[in-house]
Amino acid sequence: MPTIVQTVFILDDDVSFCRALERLLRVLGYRVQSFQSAFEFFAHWSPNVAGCLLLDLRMPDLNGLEVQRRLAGLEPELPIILVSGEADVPSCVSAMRGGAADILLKPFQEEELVAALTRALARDHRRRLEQAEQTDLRARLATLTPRELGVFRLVSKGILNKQIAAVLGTKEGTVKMHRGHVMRKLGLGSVAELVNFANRLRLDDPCPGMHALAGRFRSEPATTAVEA
Amino acid sequence: MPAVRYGIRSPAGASRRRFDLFGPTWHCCLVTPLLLDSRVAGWVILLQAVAIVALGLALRRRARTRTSAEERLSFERLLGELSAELSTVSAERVDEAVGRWVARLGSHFEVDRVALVQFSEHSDRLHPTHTSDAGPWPPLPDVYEAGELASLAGNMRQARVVRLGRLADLPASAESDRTALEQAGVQALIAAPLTPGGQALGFLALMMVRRERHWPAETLLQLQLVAGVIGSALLRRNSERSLRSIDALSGAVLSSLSARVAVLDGAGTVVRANEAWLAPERSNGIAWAPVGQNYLAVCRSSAEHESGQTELARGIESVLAGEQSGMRLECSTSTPSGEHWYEVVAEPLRRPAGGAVVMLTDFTARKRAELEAQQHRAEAAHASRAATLGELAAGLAHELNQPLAAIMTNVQASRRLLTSEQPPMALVGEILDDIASDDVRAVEIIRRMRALLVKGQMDVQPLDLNELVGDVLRLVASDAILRRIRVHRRVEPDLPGITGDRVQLQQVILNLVVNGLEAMSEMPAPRRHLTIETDLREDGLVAFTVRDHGPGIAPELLGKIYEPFYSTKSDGLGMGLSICRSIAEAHGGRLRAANHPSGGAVFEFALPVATVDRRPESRRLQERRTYAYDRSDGLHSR
Repeated sequence: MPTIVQTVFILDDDVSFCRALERLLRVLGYRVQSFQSAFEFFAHWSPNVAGCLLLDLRMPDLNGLEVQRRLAGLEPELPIILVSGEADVPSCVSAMRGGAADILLKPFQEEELVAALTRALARDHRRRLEQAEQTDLRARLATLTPRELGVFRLVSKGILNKQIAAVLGTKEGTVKMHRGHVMRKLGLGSVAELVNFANRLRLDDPCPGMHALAGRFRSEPATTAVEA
Repeated sequence: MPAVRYGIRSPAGASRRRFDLFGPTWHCCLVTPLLLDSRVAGWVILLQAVAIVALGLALRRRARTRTSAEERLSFERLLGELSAELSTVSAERVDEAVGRWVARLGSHFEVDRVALVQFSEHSDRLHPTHTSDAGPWPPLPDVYEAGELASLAGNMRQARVVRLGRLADLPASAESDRTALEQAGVQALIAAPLTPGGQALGFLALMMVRRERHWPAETLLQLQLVAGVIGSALLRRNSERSLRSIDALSGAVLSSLSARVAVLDGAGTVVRANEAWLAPERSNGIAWAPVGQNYLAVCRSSAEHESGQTELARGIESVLAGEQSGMRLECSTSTPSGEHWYEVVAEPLRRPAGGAVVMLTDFTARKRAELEAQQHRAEAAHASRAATLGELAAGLAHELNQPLAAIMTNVQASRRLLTSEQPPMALVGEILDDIASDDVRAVEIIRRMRALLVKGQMDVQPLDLNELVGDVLRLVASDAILRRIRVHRRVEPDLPGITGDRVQLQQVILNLVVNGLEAMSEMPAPRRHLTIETDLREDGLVAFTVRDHGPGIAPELLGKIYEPFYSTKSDGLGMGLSICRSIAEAHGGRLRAANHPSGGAVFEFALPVATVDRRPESRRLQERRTYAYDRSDGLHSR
């Protein structure tokens, strides 16, 4: 996979501090883009750009925590390092609960900054790789017919062909045929690979096996999840 | 009384001389007829008859004279007895004795009724207090109202005697008297006023009920003499009675007082004291002396271990010496049960022998409550000040963080840049400019903060520095006593006025004074002196100086004490002097600190003299209106 270009975004209303931080990060070799207001930031930023955000907790137009809340709904999530003038415990707690990657107290040392940035960028990189993989897996899954998809789900849970046939109300031979199509379409060589594929998909099936055995209708939510 | 003696003796002496005149008459009657013949005898018999008639006349006259002499003698005896009894009888038995004597006077003067009538003290009424009747006559009423017996009472009040032989002699103007006398059945009356020492007490009257009577001058004279003696006795009774009532009154007042009261004589010896004073177990450490002991001596000896009582002794002494027209001071004593507070009042006795009344009031409970309230107030004020300053400090910290963080980040960036092979000097220069401007920003934030603390709401008005100092000293007076610190005040009485915010200037003065008091807490008590001065400086500033006798300020700290949040006190906020200096500067004055060459710190707070005049507001308003008018006219401009 090719290396993704990462950008460090700075969102701080203090012009002087913004400029100083931008300068330091450039010297350290980062790609930087700074904004003085949340409005400006949301106007320019796009989720496709990889990187992280150095976010000032106290800002006049939009509070740092609110910015964080807005970003949380977007995919992939942008790692946020909160920058605060003081150790305001309630704010820090809600920032961490909201999924902040780190918190830096002003004024901070270069090493602290670099360590926080490294962690945040790595997290972003990992997330983006995962996201690319998911996209790939789902694209491959999308080539299956609904019947093949049903067979795939049941096979991934370790259920035998005979049982699958009983559940789907067909003959064992038909199940075998669908199973061959699934393996070919998804480019899988063995049942083990199929199970791995299903696991990587992170499909949320709250109660595998038993529910599937109880009735085919129970597997419907899983199908919708895939379609979403 | 020479007049009395003359009145008694002269008639007796005169009669003896008249006796001697009859000597030749006797001789003529008995001897001459034996020597002459019958022709002549007819003449002689005629002469003898004449002589016998003359003798008879003489004998009758002599008999009458003897009766009159006996009467006089008996009156003399009566008067002697009356004076003897009434001058020795005790005051409370005077009335009883007078009653007895009134009865005796009735039989002596052979009258139908004797009445002693006294004037009411507070009204124009008459009270017949003692009467003695020789028969069952219509009685006198208990009281005569102001209009009744008006003429008689008027004469008596003016110390004039009244002699009335019959009611018909009463003038037409005395109609009310006639009615009153007729009702009492009186037909004749003679009355003498009781006016001992010029004070009209009433009168003594002899009355006839059965018939009219001619009153000889002799009777009047005797009546006056008797009235004189009775009057003196009544006066003595009255004055003793009022003395006793004054005494009872003052005694009741004294014992009703919960304060401890003693009367001292000119030398300071206790001559009288109330119950509270005479309970030594309640003295609570304050000097005490029983009746008969010298209070000043007790004060002086207890002053040896209670320095507060030196002032007490000195104050009472000066009142006794007449140097002070009264004294009032507060002093405290320490006892095993804690500190006690007394208010001491000494009032001089305005009498030739001198002396003073000393009153000690224990107001410990009130004082404790006061001190507690004061402490609570101070704590509350400190807490609220601390809270406000805490908020300000938090704001200050956050605001300062921005430029500081920017500076730090810029420094890190430039350090990186400078380690590269070809440092971009233009960029480094840019960074340095940014650092400088951030520094300016930080300074600006601090200045703005301080200005906010001081200039919040300045209410400028004309003020008198001495008055401000007086207000503050009153506030800290009890604090100073508690800390056992003597405060010396030397103020320049003729200071020019200043202008400023009363509360802020008081705050500065209070801060400096309290700093001074607190600075001496570690010093031994005799060294704890705080000197406060006001004066006009040569540079035209009005200055207030506080000098303490504490450890002084360490030289290396002299420049640091004005810094915000710097404090040497464990509970200090470190804002005091910083704010004080800002206030001084806001008023165009200055605040300086130094160490005194002979120990202790000296703080000097100086302010410029007011340029506006200090006349009453109304005058200034008037003038302002005139200015406005002039300006609108375009004639003048200020």
